Amino acid sequence: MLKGNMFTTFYSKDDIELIHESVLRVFEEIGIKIEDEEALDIFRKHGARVEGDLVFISKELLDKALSTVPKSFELVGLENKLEIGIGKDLVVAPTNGCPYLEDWDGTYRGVNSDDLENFYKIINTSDVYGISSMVSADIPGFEDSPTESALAQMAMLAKYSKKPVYNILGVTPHNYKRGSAKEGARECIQLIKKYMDNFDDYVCYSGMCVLPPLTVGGDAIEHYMAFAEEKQPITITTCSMTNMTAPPSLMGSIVADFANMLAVGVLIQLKEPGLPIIFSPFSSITDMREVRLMTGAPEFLMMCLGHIAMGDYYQIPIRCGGALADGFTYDYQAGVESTLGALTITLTNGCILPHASGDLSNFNLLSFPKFMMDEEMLRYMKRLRQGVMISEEKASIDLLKKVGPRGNFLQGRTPKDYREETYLTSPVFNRGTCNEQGRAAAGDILTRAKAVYDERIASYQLPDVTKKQKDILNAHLPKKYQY
Amino acid sequence: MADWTKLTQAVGELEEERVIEILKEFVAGNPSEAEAGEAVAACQKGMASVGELFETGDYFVGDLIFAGELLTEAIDILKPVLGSGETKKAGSMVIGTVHGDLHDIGKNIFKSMAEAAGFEVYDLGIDTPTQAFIDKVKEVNAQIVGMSGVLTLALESMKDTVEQFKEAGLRDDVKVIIGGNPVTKEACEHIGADAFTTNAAEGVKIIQSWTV
Ligand code: B12
Repeated sequence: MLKGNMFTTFYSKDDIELIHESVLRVFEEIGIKIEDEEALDIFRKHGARVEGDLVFISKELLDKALSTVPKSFELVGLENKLEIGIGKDLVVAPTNGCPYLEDWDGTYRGVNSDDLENFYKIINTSDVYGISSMVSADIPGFEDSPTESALAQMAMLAKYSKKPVYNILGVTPHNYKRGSAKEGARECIQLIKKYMDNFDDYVCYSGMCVLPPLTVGGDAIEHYMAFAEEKQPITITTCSMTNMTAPPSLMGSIVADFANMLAVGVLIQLKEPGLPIIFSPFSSITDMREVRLMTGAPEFLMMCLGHIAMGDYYQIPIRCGGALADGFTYDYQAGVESTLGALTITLTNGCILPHASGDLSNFNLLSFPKFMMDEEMLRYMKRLRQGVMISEEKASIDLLKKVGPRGNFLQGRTPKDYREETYLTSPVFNRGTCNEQGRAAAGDILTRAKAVYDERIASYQLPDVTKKQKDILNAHLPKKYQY
Repeated sequence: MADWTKLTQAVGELEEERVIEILKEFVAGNPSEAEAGEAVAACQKGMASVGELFETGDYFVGDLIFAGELLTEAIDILKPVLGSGETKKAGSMVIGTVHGDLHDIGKNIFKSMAEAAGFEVYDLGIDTPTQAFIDKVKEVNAQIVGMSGVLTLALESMKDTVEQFKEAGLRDDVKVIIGGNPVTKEACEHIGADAFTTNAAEGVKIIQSWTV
């Protein structure tokens, strides 16, 4: 068990108050641009000052809206349920939306639907992930779906998932032709409800990005409205880049992002009081030499911690950090950066560790080898969260007396105290000796990761579902993936 | 004014106020056209050092854009004493992030750099319908169309847009350049664009080569 939050190392109570006050100043002096009439009406109806499409949120309105945000909620999957929220276990979720792939043989190409099937198999045979979600979206393989590509992608996620699902699909005119983004987003969720035959619980939470700085695009609002109307939990994501779509200072970026996310949070609570919301900031610094977002940077960790601190302050569940990296292969750099990003939320009361595996090139690249390697790093994270057991008994004074100076603890069977507090790695990581035999026995990490991967793919079995459920998905799945 | 090093240095260090001060003082002294030419050369020398500092990683893309603006400002001050050689726009282009895509950071960088290079740029913003590109090109008689997008799906929108230009009988009247992370040589061929790049500075060089 953790006894503190890592964010206190970087943010004092006064710092957090100053960020909060700055957020209020953004609300009062600048406003948030909301590009949607329906949303503006909701704000007006609740007494917010609206000038054109700029919304000014008073402290009173903010407090009122925040008072209905649930601290946690239950998400129901096909085979298990999950508690998500403040004070609950950290939920680990795989990456999302990466368009390119680093394959096992070292080649690079676009992700396709067959890869997606394999990733789903790995995710759903893993002891690490609580969530199953689209590691890649709008990729080749869904063009000839019987209905719409968006629905086919949801059906695919449903078909291979045993765990609760997360939907990141942005509905566009390309993947959903028969209606608006809002209609499409609703239909995607309805498909999961029908498949699960569950219209009461939370069965699918969905995410959508705001448009930093200080803006929420009309397209995103349509999605937020759709999720709210389907009464399913909503992740409010942001991903600003310092000096581009956020102020150049880390604090300025946190202030702007938090105000941006809060505006959507308020809107959702006004529309649907009590609906679970999660804030999900992925903002980081821009490396101006490359003009790219740097998700493996130390500043990313500190910015995430600022957001987690603010989430704690407002009691809003936070999903952020992740095993993110900025290079393009599973190398030393990737290991360092991914671990930093994962630690970010692991050592706090944040709720979801997203983008937890396989990610490279700041959200652009998905790697099969790294996916399997990250999984082991994530087990380290799990171990960290269990912490150190402290008690008079664990101080082991009696045992120390018994064994005495220069004695030997290796006596009798392996003690419970050892087993309770010692995590032994999976075969992906090596702890053997460095001599010739050791090296020969261990081989390289790629081979070890591939062996675990092959085993898991072979062991995967589709969830046991009824004919009716199969028919529901078959109506949308591309022929190749139909039951 | 014989010693131009101060001006060159001020431009190189992007000291806007200092540059303006030096030039205003210079213009107030009623210089000859030849002297004014020397001032321009000094500014250009400063620009070269900006370029070097960019290469070495001391300056970033924002500084390049700013340097372009600074040069324009400097030339404006010198105009009255520069004589007849009036400055004209390098060319005109219509740009936008294509239909279905809202990412515009890259597009905005390219836009600023193209403007700094003297292009007249008409920016249609984000999620731009195909017809909007066509309407704008007709309205302003632009020679170049720039499309930006980072979603994989943006490539399809780019293709749709080029198709629309063909249908409208306008494809041969414009050069088309595409940019954004997913664009590749293959995508460029599939889309039917004339050029592609994932580097804004290279994009500017390409469009410059089209307008000389
Ligand atoms: C920042 C960002 C955002 C910001 C965008 C803010 C803004 N104002 O643009 C926000 C948070 C709003 C956002 C939203 C979304 N995003 Co986004 N985003 C990114 C991110 C992190 C960086 C993109 C970026 O700006 N790069 C920096 C710029 C400078 O690079 P660039 O565009 O390539 O531009 C350079 C060159 O290409 C060139 N250039 C660019 N345009 C042009 C044009 C011309 C004519 C020329 C010559 C040159 C040129 O010049 C630039 C400088 O050299 C990427 C991941 C990544 N690391 O790339 C994801 C990413 C692109 N987003 C992604 C997604 C999925 C989304 C959302 C759908 C998420 C959601 N569910 O809400 C929404 C988009 C909704 C929509 N319909 O578009 C995916 C795309 C996946 C895919 N296969 O298509 C990515 C890859 C991340 C991921 N894995 O999820 N995003």
